[in-house]
Amino acid sequence: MTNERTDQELIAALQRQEVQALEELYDRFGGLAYSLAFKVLGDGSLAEDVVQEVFFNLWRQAQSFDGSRGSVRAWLLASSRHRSIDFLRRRQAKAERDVELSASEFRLNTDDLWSQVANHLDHGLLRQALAQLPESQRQALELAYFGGLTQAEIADATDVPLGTVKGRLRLALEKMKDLLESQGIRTAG
Amino acid sequence: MECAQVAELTAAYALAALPEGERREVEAHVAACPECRARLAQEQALVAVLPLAVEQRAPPARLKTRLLQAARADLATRERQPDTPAHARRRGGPRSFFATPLPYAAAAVLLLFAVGGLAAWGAQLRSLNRQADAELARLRSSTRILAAQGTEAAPGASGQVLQLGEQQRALLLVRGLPTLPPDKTYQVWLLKDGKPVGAGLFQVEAGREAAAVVTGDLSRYDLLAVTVEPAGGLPLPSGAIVLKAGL
Ligand SMILES: [Zn+2]
Repeated sequence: MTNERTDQELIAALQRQEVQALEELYDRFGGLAYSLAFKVLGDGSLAEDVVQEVFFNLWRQAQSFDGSRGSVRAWLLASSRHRSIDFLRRRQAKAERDVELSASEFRLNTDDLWSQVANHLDHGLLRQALAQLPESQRQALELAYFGGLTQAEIADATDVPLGTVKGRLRLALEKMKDLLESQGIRTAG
Repeated sequence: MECAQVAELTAAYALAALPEGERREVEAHVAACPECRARLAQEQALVAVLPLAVEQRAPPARLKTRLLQAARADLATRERQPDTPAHARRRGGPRSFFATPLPYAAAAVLLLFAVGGLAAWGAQLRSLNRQADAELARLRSSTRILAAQGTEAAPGASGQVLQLGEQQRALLLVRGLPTLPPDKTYQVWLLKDGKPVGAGLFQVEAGREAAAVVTGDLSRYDLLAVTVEPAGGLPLPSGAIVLKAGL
């Protein structure tokens, strides 16, 4: 048995240019990153390119990765989503959006909620929660998160007023919170 | 913006579905409003778990092979051209010019006047200038000055990089960069072959020149760049380069 190193220890090892550490980080988060990219792009080979790019950037830039400013998991997933949406919009010849990586996306301490949800076997809990959202809310949420659309674009795509989209996004997260809490998950920080 | 309006927007903000203008308004509001900030934090935590809702797929084995091959090839290249060892690099923490210990700051200030043509860089620096005569001559003889130019993102900006002797620090003087909202910062990066290392943060007061201490041995890098990042800086740059200097 090998001792599992923490994410922080793996980053430190990456900074010592240890390829093994990259492999361990990939084993830990590569599947999540790939699945997320695949969901956004709907295409395996593009998803591979995104994941390769994201992990290789981490390898190249590990020296400047400052773990005190955020978790590597959150950074890898946020980057995978952002790069995927970049790809998607370029392929769809949409105006490229200034999808900024916001520090709060991965500086936030979301570990508690993450580990509670992740501990539920096979991630089924969250999928079930989303499946219980009213269709219009789930659709708005997915178009925003996985489709990379702005609220105005969602309004266009679904042919409803902008104000309705705002309400749907807000209600979708609220409902998701209630559904998780009804399963005994604590969502308050 | 009122809390009621912001409450309509934080979910879209957490999902990165807001256009630039509203995004900034939300950021400005939550910076000052603990209640809206708490709600946003909770919504962001919910958004952060959404990757767990995705059907999990095993990536093809060739992806891992390709990634590790690329890393090993990169490592071999680096070993042929030794780079700065990790321990020699400082992480760029929050650090402003005026927060630096006085002897160094005073020497740097004296230097500004000594190298000529730089008196215009700000009367606020002048009050410090009586304190470090002894260091002056030594510094003057070993200082390099490099020009920095604003990019397309900040065409009115310019600046100078002062490398002070053998020190692991340099001084960046900047003018013409806009003041940022409180939740943003300018972050300095040193780049070698396109790889950035954080080298400090600074702010610009309205209409003022700014000075920032750059941590790192400039001779080991080929480019200095400044980006706009969220307050506190990021582990890796995300914003566009607004100012740069070839080293
Ligand atoms: Zn408020």
